[in-house]
Amino acid sequence: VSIPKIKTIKEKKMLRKFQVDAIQSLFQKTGLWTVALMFAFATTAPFLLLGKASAAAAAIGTRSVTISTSQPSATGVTYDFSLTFPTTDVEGIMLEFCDNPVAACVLPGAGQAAASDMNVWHSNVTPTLTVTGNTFSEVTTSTGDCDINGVDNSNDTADDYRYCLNRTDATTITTAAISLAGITNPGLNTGSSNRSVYVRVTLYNNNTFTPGASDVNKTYGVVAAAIVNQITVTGRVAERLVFCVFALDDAAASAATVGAGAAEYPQDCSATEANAGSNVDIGIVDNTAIARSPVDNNPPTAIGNDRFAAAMINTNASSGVTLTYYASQAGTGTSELRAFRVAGADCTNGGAIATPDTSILNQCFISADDTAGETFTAGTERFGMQIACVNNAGRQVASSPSAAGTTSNLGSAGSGSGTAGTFNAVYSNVDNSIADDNVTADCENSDAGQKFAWRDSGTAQALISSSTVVDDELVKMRFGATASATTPTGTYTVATTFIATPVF
Amino acid sequence: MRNIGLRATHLVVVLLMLVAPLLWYVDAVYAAQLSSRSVIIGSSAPGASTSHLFKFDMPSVSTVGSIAFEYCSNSPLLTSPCTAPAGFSASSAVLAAQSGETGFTVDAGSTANRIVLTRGPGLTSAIPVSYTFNNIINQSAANSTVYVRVATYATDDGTGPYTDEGSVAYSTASQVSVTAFVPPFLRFCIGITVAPNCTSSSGSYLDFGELRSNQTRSLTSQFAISTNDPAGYVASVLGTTMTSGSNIIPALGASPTSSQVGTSQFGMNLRTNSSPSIGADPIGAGTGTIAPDFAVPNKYYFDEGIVVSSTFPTEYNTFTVSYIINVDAAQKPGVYTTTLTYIAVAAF
Repeated sequence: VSIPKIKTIKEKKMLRKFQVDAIQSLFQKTGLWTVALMFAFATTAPFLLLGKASAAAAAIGTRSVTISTSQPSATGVTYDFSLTFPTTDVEGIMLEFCDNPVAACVLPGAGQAAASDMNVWHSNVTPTLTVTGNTFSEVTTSTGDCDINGVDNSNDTADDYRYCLNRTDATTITTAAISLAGITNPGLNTGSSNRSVYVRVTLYNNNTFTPGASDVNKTYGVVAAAIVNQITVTGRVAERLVFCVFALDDAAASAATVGAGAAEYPQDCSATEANAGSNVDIGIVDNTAIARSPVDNNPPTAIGNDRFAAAMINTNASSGVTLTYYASQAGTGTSELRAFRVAGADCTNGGAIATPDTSILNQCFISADDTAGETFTAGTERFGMQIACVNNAGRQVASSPSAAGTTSNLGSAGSGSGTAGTFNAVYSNVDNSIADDNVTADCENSDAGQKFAWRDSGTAQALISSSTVVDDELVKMRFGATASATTPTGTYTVATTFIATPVF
Repeated sequence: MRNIGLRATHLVVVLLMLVAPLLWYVDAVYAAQLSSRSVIIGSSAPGASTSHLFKFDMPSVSTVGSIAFEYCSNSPLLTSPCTAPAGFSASSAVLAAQSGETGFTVDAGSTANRIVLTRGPGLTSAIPVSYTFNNIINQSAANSTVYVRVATYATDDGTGPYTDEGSVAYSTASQVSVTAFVPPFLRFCIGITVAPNCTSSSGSYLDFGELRSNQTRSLTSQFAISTNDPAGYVASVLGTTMTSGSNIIPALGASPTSSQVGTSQFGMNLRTNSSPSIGADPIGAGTGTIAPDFAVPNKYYFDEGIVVSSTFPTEYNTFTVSYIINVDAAQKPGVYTTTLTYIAVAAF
């Protein structure tokens, strides 16, 4: 039968009239009740069919599914099912992973461009069943209702939403715990924060997944899981350096009090003691002895103060920190401007004071060798600095409040034997015992045989370093000097610049 | 023609819609932290004009047309508002050195607390780089931390999304001043023997025994001296010749004279002598010199006055004083004695 093509408006009107006439004719020929019956059947048939299945198949009792992660698109996810069977003869279990509980099953995520598909293909899934005395096997070939060939009907892709298990005996079981590992969760659509996965569980009393007439062989139930966005918590630890240099009052941090647990050592750079001064006065220097800081002021003396130089470092630089220093240049005078000198003095050989040309005759001290360090001899003019010790978490064991920080990474002894700590040996006091002569945990070390050095070139020299973080470790430094017989009288001074360089 | 233009427009729009998210993704994925980063400052003195040497490793191969160094006192985080450190200025900063990725100059758009290095955009390598700036004025506060936010940009002016970033920190610090006082000192010691640096001395009494007309009697004493007086020192001897009541042994006070056996005479010098064999020349690194009358070997002299002196500050010298006594046959018997006092004076 050939159907002529409708080309004109007139022809369309004729067609519409023909359709109306046909309906009218149908009513006339079959009667109104027949047509009404047809409409009624068309509209209720789906519900009747679904209702038939539901009515014929008993419902599974208590049922649940627990997933190892709800992370979208996560792989290797384990779905643990817990089922209570209403019937004792269960030989086939079919699981359908769907994006809805009742309508046509669609694999979650399938066909949605922004989301990845769920993957429950049997080749990827490893089942574990806990059913006492019974063993179920994974179904790898379609049989009966268990069509595992997927949308493309090939059974070689990951597009199937069914997963089946069966067995060959009919031993009575009432409960089962089914664990399916290796499942890939579906992804989420763009802008969506969650997705539901409905798992339709159908039990068969046969291992061929034959439903039987009116589904008499089936038992049915649905469980659900939710795939949701993960909460990502982010934060950044900012780079940190807290560094301060000060003149540490040794009277406050004296042997008598530190050993007893006093809190005289500054705990951090904000402590009062860390901001109490910056001048170290080593008092009288002559050619009969070696003057060293701190000058004991018990009883107090008019000249000299009881202070160390101290540098405290706190940094989270994971590659460590290096403490360097150099002598600051004097603002007045001539020559040797970074030496321990009298302000304004001419220290030029052949200058006003330096006659004859011997440096011990001018008003600039000879700097202790900064390449090897020097052990001072009284009467041989020298000026220098040494590291007395490092006060850190490994120190001040007598009490908790006097230990400044929590790390011991700058070294803990004069020889630089601390954890990853490196002393510049030329500033070492050549004494592995950081204890004072008679007091433990004093961090003074007034033993003899100490080396001094002084960097007067203007180029910073490393004193001590760490290879990792440093938490409020306190480096105590001592200045020392001795005059020669000819060292001119005067007030000598020099400023010291300390620099902490962390490597993040 | 109109349809072609419309289609082209649609194509561009579609492409943009496809590519734009990818661009965001690329930025998000490849932004990385600059590793092994540090800043080495030339001086930690507050307000100092100094150098800042930045070192870091480029983490990835990316297009870099500029690098920004932003100095902030409040936070190292690139995404936080930046508070310029008080007193800090990089307005006059100059790029003194560069290594690794090079070819940069300071961009004209740099500010007082943000230095932008610029060059024609080019691919970087994952290599260590360093940049040294001079003429940077440190913040004015002591013991204060400044964070420097370092970021690379594909653009040549430090604008747009950054590619890689990382912050470093440095701190100013109080300068520790060391003071001491060297007092004026004159070290002087005397004895029969003394240590060269006056750490010890012993004896103060010389006994010549029995004086005879046919024999010269001789003994020695020592003194050591040093001073830091710029004008040096003067050491003198005070006393008389040897006497016994009203009897005397004449001093050789006219001029240095040789020892004459059988002639009453008392004298001394500070040299090594062979007639008689006694004495020693001065020792030590000092610059003290013997007064001429006491400085002639084998000739002796005695009078109150200067024996040694130095016009400079001087290290120690140890002087050995040799005394000789001769008597003639008519010398009256008795116990002859004298007390000699040595005085050293420095001017200061």
